[in-house]
Amino acid sequence: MKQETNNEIDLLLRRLGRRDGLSVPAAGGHLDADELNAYAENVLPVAARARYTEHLAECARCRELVVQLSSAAGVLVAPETVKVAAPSVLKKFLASLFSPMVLRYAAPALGLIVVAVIGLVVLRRNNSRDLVTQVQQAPVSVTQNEPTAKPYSGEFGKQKTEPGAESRGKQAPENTKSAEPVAAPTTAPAVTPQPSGSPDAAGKREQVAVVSEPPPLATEAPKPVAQTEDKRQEVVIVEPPKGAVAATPAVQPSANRNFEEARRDRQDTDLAADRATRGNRKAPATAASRSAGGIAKVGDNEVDKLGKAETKEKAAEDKDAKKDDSAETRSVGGRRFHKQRGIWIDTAYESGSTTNLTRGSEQYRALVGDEPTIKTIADQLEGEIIVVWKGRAYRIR
Amino acid sequence: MNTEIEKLLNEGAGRLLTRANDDRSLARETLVPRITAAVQKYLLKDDPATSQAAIAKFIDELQADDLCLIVACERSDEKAWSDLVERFTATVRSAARSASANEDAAEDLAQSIWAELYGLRAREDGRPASKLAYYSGRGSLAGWLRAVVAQLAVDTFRKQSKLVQAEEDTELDRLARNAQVGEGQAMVAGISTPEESMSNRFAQADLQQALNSAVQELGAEDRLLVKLYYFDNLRLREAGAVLGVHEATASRRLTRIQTDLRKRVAKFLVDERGWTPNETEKAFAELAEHLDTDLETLLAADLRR
Repeated sequence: MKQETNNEIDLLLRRLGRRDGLSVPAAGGHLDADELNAYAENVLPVAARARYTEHLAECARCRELVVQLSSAAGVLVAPETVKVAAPSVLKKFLASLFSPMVLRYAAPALGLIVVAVIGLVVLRRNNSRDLVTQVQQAPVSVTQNEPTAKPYSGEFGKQKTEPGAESRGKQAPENTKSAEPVAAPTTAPAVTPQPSGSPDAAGKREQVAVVSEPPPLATEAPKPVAQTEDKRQEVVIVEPPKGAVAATPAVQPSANRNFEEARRDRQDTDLAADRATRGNRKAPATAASRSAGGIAKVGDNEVDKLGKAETKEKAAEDKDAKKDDSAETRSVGGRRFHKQRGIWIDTAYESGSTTNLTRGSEQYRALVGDEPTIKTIADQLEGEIIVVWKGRAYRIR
Repeated sequence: MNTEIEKLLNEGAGRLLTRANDDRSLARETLVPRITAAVQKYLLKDDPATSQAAIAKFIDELQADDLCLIVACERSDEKAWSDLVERFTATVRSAARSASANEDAAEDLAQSIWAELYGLRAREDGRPASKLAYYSGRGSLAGWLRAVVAQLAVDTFRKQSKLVQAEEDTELDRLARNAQVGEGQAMVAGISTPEESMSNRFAQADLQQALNSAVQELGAEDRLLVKLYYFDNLRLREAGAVLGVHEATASRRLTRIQTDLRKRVAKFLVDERGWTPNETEKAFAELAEHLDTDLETLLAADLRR
């Protein structure tokens, strides 16, 4: 409507312009060259300009000259711009960051970097998944030790009363070598029989994981037991103690124990801790290992107690390690090694293929990056080492 | 002029000479009359009580080098003349070419300009009547020279055309009057009876008078814009350049003027001619219809082309 109104006036004005109906002779003569030029160049004082504007509105001749001079002078008038406050530094930075030039080159480069990073992360995840698989396989082998482990839990009552248990434990250090052949059959079948993914196995795995706290207690236990505990130690690295408590429900059905049994186990654990305190480490270690299933239900207090016992056990272990040094046997990072032909060999190692690594190599760095304990071992034991870690044997030169 | 202003002008002349890259060995006193004339013309004429600061600012904005050159030329400085011709021959020729129909006319015009500048005619006091005396230094010397050329071209053209057109004027006026009557008749659509025709012609005359009156009531700047756009057929960019505003500003201003004129025309018709508001609206509606007809004709003409 408004536009239409303007169009009507527009039409009327055009008609008026064609007829030049408003030609009024200019009073007072025409503008001189200086005035015309000053007007066209827009350099007149305001009052003078208004005076000349009045004249130009009426005088077609002067208007014509001013128009000519304006176009000849190329008077350019900048558009009226609203003054906006200068953008902040952050805005400027963002503006420059998202400028077309930057987006043209930096965006694809950024995309490539993102893809590369994602690829790297995926690769690393795959690697860690392999490690997890190895970890999972390790407990399975422990699960295979059930025939060994279960009699402990099952014969717990008997062992508790059996005085020979302690003496059998005492003999263990002397029989380190002879224990090896015994360990072999226990671990050998671990790889084949049971699929690691079975729920039962998983439950037992967690069960083992829960028991992972007391292993140091069992350092001097007979070889079969020690072998089991070695596996547990591996699990300890992967699964934190808190997870042990969380895993309690899984443990209950697999262990198939009632609360009474669990209570008995707890008492037994306490007893083991007491024995450890008294320096009688072998029997408590056995007891602790026997209480493998039940300890999952043990609360934080029990864990603390076990921790204390573990500390004491470690102190004792150090003493033993000193003794072992003389016999070319050392215990490092929770693993026991004996020296054969100048090579430190993990007691858990049996003949078989090894992954060969050289200290300082890329592979070595990658391995110790994931498993710092191996680095500790490699640093403390000079020369060639064969260490069994998470079911795989590494030969480090 | 009081002594304070004289002192101010004297100081201003000193500053101007200092600003000039080549002061042409001019004395301060030779510049003072020139500066005084410019101040009188552009400042004191409009506001005799102009502040000293405004006067000082005005002087400091003068084109120092150009003014020194022109004053030196006036004083018959050969070097200054040589410089003037060397620097501005192209400007004068270009201006003459754009104001002339052909190259010969342009050359004649350019030569006339140099004669005018040199002042071949003598004044009453015997000194040459040069146009150089009118340069104030407010605008650029090149622009001033273009203005001198344009003025001279217009004057020359009018003198010539007066001789040629004298006989044709009567005929042209008659044709123009007929055309106006024809437009007036065609402007209102649907004319059927002589009474209606007569009535519409009166209405048209009232409308025209109302518009004339409304335009005259506009401010000088708005009126100039209307003239530049509707009478001189300039584009908005060109009209804006004359007014010293951007094209967009000129466009906005023109829209506002149209709305303003609409109101003024309606008011005039009601107050002065006794129209009712309905009659006013009806007249505009008929104009709108005519506008549609105009557009259709225009489009048809375009298609035929």
